[in-house]
Parts: sequence; structure tokens; C-alpha cells
Amino acid sequence: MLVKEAIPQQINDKAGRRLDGSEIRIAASSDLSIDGKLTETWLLATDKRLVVIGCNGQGPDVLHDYDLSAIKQVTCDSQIGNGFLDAVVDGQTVTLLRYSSAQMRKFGAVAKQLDALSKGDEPKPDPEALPKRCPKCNFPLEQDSTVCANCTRKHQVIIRLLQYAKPHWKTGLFVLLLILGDYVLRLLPPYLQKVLVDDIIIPRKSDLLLPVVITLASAGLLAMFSSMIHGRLGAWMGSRITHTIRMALCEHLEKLSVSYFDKRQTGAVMARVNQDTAELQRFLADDIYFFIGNCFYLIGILAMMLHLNWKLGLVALIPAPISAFMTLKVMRGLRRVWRRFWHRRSRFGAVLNDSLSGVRTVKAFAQEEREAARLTAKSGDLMVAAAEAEATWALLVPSFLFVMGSGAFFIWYFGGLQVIDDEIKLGTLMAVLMYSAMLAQPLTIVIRLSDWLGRVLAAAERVFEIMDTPIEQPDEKKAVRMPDIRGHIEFKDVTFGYQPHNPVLHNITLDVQPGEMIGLVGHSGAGKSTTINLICRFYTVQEGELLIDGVNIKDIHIGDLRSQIGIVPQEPYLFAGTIAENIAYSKADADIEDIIRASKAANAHDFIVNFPDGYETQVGERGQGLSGGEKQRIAIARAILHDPKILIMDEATSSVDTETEKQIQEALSRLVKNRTTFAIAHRLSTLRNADRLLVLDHGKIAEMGTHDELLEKKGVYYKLVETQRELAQMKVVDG
Amino acid sequence: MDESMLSSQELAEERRKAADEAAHVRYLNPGDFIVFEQDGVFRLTLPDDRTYLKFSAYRTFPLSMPEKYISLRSDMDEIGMIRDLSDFDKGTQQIIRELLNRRYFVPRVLKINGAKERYGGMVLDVETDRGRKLIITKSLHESLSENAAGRCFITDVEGNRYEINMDDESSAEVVTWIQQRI
Repeated sequence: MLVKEAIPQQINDKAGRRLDGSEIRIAASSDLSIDGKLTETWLLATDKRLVVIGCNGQGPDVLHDYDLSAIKQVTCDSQIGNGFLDAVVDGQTVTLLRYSSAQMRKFGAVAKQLDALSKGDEPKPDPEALPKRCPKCNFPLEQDSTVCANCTRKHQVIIRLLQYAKPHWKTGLFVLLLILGDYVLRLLPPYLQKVLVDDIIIPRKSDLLLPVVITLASAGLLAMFSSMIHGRLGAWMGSRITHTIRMALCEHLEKLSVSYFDKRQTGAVMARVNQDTAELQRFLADDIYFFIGNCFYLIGILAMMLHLNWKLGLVALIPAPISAFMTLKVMRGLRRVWRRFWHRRSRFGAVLNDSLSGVRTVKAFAQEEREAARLTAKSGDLMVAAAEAEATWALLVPSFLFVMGSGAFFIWYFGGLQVIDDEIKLGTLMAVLMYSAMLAQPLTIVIRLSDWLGRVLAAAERVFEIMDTPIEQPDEKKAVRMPDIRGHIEFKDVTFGYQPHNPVLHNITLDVQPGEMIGLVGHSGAGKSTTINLICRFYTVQEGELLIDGVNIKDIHIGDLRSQIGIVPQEPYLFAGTIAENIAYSKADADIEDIIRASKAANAHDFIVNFPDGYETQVGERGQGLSGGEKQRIAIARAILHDPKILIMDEATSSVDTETEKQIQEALSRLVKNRTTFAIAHRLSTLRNADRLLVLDHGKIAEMGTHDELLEKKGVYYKLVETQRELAQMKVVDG
Repeated sequence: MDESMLSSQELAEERRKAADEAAHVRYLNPGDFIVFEQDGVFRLTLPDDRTYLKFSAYRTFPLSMPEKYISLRSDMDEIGMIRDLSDFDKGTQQIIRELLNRRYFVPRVLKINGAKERYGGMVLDVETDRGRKLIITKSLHESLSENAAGRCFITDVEGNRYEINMDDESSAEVVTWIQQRI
């Protein structure tokens, strides 16, 4: 599918004459004018012509109109916050239009498709080119998401949430019945007190006094037990359901691609797992029953008041509209000030964490006073926000409570008159007064339903959004099973960019035989790490093909592929646990001798046994601090134990001293034998043993050959070697 | 030359020159280069050296010093830096400003017409110096970022960034609105 957006009528009319009624192949709108104003500009292209139409205040205006044959090249010029679509027309570079960063992907595709059209080729479709928007409300959708936060129907989210409660429906129903019983019992005391006053104390009928008092006490006791039981059961059920949701969420997170995490902050994802599921737990364990119970409670109170005296019942409701209005306003105001307080508190926390984590650097540069000043400033901000939040609370809440309780004044006045006129008895007035005082709680909760539900639904929606994100290889059944990979790797005209409009690798073609060792060489940003990221399938090739043993990597069962790839990264990650557990991470069933053998081969055994706890030394967070070289050798042992068919070494010796490097090199030379190996190394001398060296330059293959061949060629590799030699000499002189 | 003969200002200049040399920063002064447009492309010539067929201008301190310490570049390489754009002739200033305007697009919010909370995020109807825009954010607090230069940025769900200058009197209304929330 080429980029083709719905064209407004006036743009169509303006372009119609110039495009001679030919079929429009590309139609793309940008959100900026060439001088950077937020207004629409349209680009329309047929097989023969290209028209660009701007929309200024006076209506559409043709800015460019070219025969496609005059266009030689179309490119995107990405800048900060915006970009330009440029074309070379009759030897002149012309800027066709300007667009904001939100549209970079779209115009990246437009550039390629226009370029192909101008050359008379058939343009390649790009289904992901258009920014995704909700088809109903046009709200922008996040990448990889099909859920519209704006118009997700509330009831659908609630139904989905309740699906998780389905296995516990019997317990849920029981809890609900207990809650209803609890609230019925709470309705009894005012009525019984009316009976006590009107029918027992005033007429002096002492024989009924004890039974009514016992009933009153029993109601209180029963309500207490009911509350205890539904509280316990609700908490148990809510925790179980949340556990199910959290597990589903964590399992899904583990299956998501690396690119998902590239686009998001780990902290934000963790917040979803922690805070949003906690929000759901509160809802499922507590809030939902609380809300249903209070709805019932509200109806019960109103019914009792109207039953006792309908006139007084209506009088009690006089302040209700003002209360409702104030609830909405007061809560909104309070929420705003408290949010500000929470935001500032987290900012203060972040600065404090920063300052304390970097305490060595602070002290080394004698910047204690500066850090203290930074903290004082943030603490001052927090103080202002806290004071304002408390002040707003102190101002709003008493007035709110006064209005909520003002129904009592009306009841006292009108009810008092009725008692004086003997229309009602004193006990009835007292009971209505008690019911009116009870009205405040359920009324507030029912009015705040929308706010409360919004918060829960937002949390549920954020959790479900992760669960709905497509995983790396959704259809495992169709995937090609490859339990025994030989290690033949072919790149066929591979182009890839982390942002598709901005390629990092361009047209890479390479054939690596099983067991061959390839050294990847080039400046930073040349595309070395990207090449290995593609082999590991952390990212998917966008153009061209990457084949493993003749099968497209996209089709290979991801588990089969990864289980046969071993990585020795630049900064190995050690998980919290023992050294033995970390070495055996790649092979959970490895026995102790396997682990020791692998450590020995990785030259790690000697330093491990020197630790007081040997292989049982705790590493990772709060564990024994290991040096870079030690971590590296544990990672090599891990890779040796894994016994991969394809081995990736990403700067495995970059941060160690010469002696350690020698030991690591020895270990690596044992590891690479008979495995297809890709090695990136900063020190070119370490790649001398590679069968071939692949020199990358700005994402393209600049040279390929053995160390000696490339030296003879005196090209890019030769220059890199010379530069390193000069640097080494300078170090010798300086040293 | 006997260093004791130099004034402290000259000494400072010498030190700066020596420091520049050590860091390999090539500072370009008026007369060191010529910029011009040809075939729709801005070009830069270093007399007696070479002509760069396409060059760009990058700000090194885009927030606090937008017209100082500008890096002139050709592809990935730095041609040189200029310390202050105002030291150059009008023609050079105009071309470099045009290149800077091409590179940086961050509309400035002048007025907030309306704000609505929606599903934990905000929908802001704003007037910017580039026109009217509906900014949709996920969560206002997460979308707002401040920096030491007194600038505040809102990033919308599509990745576009908008600036609020907290020190600017003309945007006092916007600043009050923001300060009530962060």
C-alpha cells in the first residue's frame, strides 16, 4: 500500500486540472508550511506528475508542479522536531515541503515511493507509514498499539477486567450478599432508636426495652462480623485476581521485542506492573464492593427517610444538588493540588537519589554545597506545594462538610414544627436526623463514581495495552523449527534503521560459512552492533533478507534460534544470585562439573575459587563487586556452557587491562572454534585471527578481506590500524 | 616572545588559543569563510582550501545561547565553530539563521485556549507562535520537562515538542497555568 490519505475536496479540485485526471498514486499531507507555520500542505503524485499544494489563509495554492521525469532524487532531511522533503529537479535541489517529527515515518516512505515513481519503477508499499489513528475519534494511537485510550468503551474494559474474576464468581457473590446484609444492618439503628423513643421510653413501656436494646446490639454485632468476613474474603479474592493479571502481564512483557523497550522507559513499564496492578487490586478487593454497597446504602437511607416522613425526607435532600456540585468542584481542586504535591515529591526524590548515588563524584569535585543548594531548592518547591495542598484542604473541606450537613438545619426547623404541631413524634424526627447524617458518605461516593471509575479504567487500560501489544513471533505453529543450526548466515541486500525512515545499515550483502569467524570493524555508529542485533533477531530486517541455513530469520522459531546463539557482551549483566547460577543461566540443568569445566576454559576458575564463598559468591545487586574482566570471564563461561552454534562477541575485551585481556583472549580462542563467530573489537589486533574482516562505514560495507589483504589494500582498515598504532606509540611516549 | 611583556588579556587569548589547538576546535572568524546559495543548496567555501557542497548549522547550546557557539558541519564532520553569529556580516547571518530555522522546530506556546483532562492525559487547545494546535498528552506531569535555562517543554503523544518560556512575561498566563500543576 502506497501512502494515500483521504484528499479534501478543495485540494482535489485544485490539483485536478494539473494531474489531468490520472490516478493519484501518492497523497500525503504534512502539518507544516515551508516557513514552519502549523498548517496543512498536500503532496499528490500520479505516475507522471507531482503537485504540492499549500493551504494558507486564502485557500489552497499550488507551490510546486513538476513532471516526474524531471526529478532525479527525493530525500528526507531530518532535523530537530521537523524535517524536509527535498528533491533534485533539473539539477536544482528543491524543498517540496516541511513536516513535524510526528510525520517523519510517513515522509520517509513518501520519499522512497516518489523516488521509485520518478525512476519508472514500481514503488514498494509500506503499511506502517501512516501514523496510526483511532478510526473512530482520530486520536493518535501509540506505535504497536491498537487500543485507543480515548474511546475504549468503559464497559468493555470493565467486562474484560471482570473476566478475571469469573473463576471466583461464587466467592464474589457471597461477598456481595454479605455487604448488602452489612448495609441493611447499618440501616436498622436509627429506626430502632425511633421505636425506643416513640414506643417505649415516652409511653414508659419497660417490658419492650430489653428486647429492642438486644436487637440493636445484635444488629451492631452482626454488622461487625459481616464486615470482617467480607473484608477478608474480598482481600483474598482481589489478591488472587491481581496475581493472575500480574502474571499474565509479566509473561507477556518477557515475550515483547527489544524494540518495545527501546521506545519506553523501564521505570514507566515497571510502574505499570507495580502501580497499575495495585490500583486494580484495590478495585477488585475493596472498591467495587464499597461502591455497590454504598449505592444500596443510599437507596436504603432515602427509602427509610421517605417511609418515616416523606416531607422530611424531601427536606433532607434540599442541599443535595449543592453538595453534588461542591463534591465535583472540591474534589477536582483538591486533586489538582495533591497531584502537584506528588509530582514535586517525586522530583525531590529523584534529585536526592541522584545526589546520594553520585556521592563519590560530589565529594571528589567538592560540590557538597552545590548539591545541598539543589536539594534545598527542590525541597522549597515541595514545601510550597505541601503548604498549598494543606491550605486548600483546610479551606475546602470544612465548607464542604458544612454544606453536606446543612440538611440537618432544614430537618430541625421543618421537623421541629411538625413535632410541635403533633404531626410527628420526637423519635421520628431523631431518626430522620440520623439518616440525613448518614446520607453524606454514600452520596459523596456515588457522585465521585466517574472520577473513581476513570482512574481504575485508566490503570486497567494501561495494563491491557501491554497485554495487547503483539509479541515477537505470535504464530509459533507456522514458525520453522530448526533444532540443529549449522551456522550459515547470509545477508541479502539488507537495509535497516531503528527508525525506519533513518536507515543505519544500507544494502548489506554478505555470505558467512559455518564455522567462519568474521571481525566487524568500523568507527562508532558504523553499524557493527546493529548487524549483530539483527542476527540475534532483537530487531526485524526491514528490507532485504537475512537467512540462517537458507531460511529467512523472520520465519525461524525464535526459541530455536536464540537457544543456539551465544553472546559475550561488552558489559555483561549478572543477575542477583551466585556465580554458579549466573554461569548456568544459559543451561539450567548443567551440573557442577559442567560449570567448573566452563569456568576453567574461560580462565575464570582461579579468581572464583579465591573468593571466600567460591562459586557460591553472591553477585548482582547487593552482591560481591566484580571487576569488568571478572564479569567478562563469567559471561564467557556462560557462553561456553551454552555451547552455541553462532557466537557473538561485542567488544568483549574493551574495558580490561593487558594481562586480563590476554587471559580473556585465550578463553575466547577456545570458545570460537567450530562456531560461526561475529566479533566486534575496539583493539583491531584482537581480530587478527578472524577469517575475514568486514569494514563498515556509515552503514555500508567499505571493505572485506583478511587482515593482511586489507592492510595491503591501504584503505579504510589500513587507516584505522595506523591510527591505533600512532595512539599506542603516543601512550608509550607519554607513559 | 617574552610572556611577561603580554597583558593579562593577551595572555588569556594565548591560553585560549592553546586550549583550542589542544582540543582541535577550529573557530571560524569573519573572513575565514564564505557562505552562498547555489542550485538550491547552501554552500561554504574556505578560501584557499575547499568548498563544501552542502553544509548545516547546529546549535551547541540551543536553549541558553541560540546564536552563539554554532557548529558548521558537512555530513558528520565539523567544518568549524563560530563563537557569535552577530560578529558576521548580514548575508552570512541570514544564511546561517535560515539553516538554524530549518534544523530546529519547536513551536512556542503563547496561550492556552482550553484544557481538558481525558483518561489520565490532557488535551490542550493552544495558540503557538506557529499557529493553533491541539496538543494531546498522556499524562501532563510525564509530558512536561523543565530545564535550568527556565524553559519548559511539553511533548505530545506523537513526539512533537512545544516550548514554554517560563521567564517570558508575554506567556505569564501559560506559566501560571503550568505552575498550578507542576
